[in-house]
Amino acid sequence: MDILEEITEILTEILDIENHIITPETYLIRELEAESIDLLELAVAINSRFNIDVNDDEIFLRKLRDYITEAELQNKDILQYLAENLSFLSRKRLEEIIEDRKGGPTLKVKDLISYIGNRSRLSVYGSRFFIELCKPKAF
Amino acid sequence: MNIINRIEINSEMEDFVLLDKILETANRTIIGEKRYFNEPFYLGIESLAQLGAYHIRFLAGFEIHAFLLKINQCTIPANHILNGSYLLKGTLVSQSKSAFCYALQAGKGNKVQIEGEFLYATIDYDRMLNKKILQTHYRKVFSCLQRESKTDC
Repeated sequence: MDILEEITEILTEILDIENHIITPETYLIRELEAESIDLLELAVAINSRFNIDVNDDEIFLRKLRDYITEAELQNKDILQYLAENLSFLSRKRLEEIIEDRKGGPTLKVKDLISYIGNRSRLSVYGSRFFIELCKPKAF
Repeated sequence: MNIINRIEINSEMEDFVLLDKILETANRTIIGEKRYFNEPFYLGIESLAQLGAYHIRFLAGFEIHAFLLKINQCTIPANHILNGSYLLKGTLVSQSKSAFCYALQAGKGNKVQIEGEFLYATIDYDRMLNKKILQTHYRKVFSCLQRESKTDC
């Protein structure tokens, strides 16, 4: 089962939306009408299913508007500022978000996939690093 | 009037603590005890909710406020009544930065009477949830529940 299939299974259960076709482009809040309580349930389900640390603020882009405001106040490039703070998202996706933000909450299923992929890679690298540290040294 | 007084008035139970003892706490588990006297099952559910919330506060060093959001798949006793001493067990199943999911159960003897999955959220203390009052209160209750003697509680 790939990440999209697993997320679809979790969302179907939490939001009780059996007949809704979920794609990477599906908006969680605009289309699926996920509420804050659903997102918290989703966060713990992702932690359990993928065995990764989940920061709710990051995965659900909760600070997106704060970051944009901060960038504007500090006369910084918005895209660059978002890339620094939401490093699991590609520049292409961040450009989309900047364009799309006036239409409402921009969170899409593909953002969850990016977060999970990014965190899973970090976990794998972390484990490998740990294994390297633990290898017996030849004297 | 502070929030603790309001809790007493609303529930008509002093401080609304539905736990007698906390017997064990570890990183992912907590075990407590409560004796009931022919009381409705929902007080047992509230005891379990309190046990999970105390475990979250314990993990966070009492620096955040924890509250119950949702209960999934909860079983209740057939006669809907709790009587006698119950062992309450909680296991942290999964978590995010601000949400925690526990498997909680209340059992008497070898029989589990109430069992469910409890979802909690956490938030920082603020103007409405006064840190000084609540942190002190929860620390004190937690400490008292861990002690054999309740003379100072």
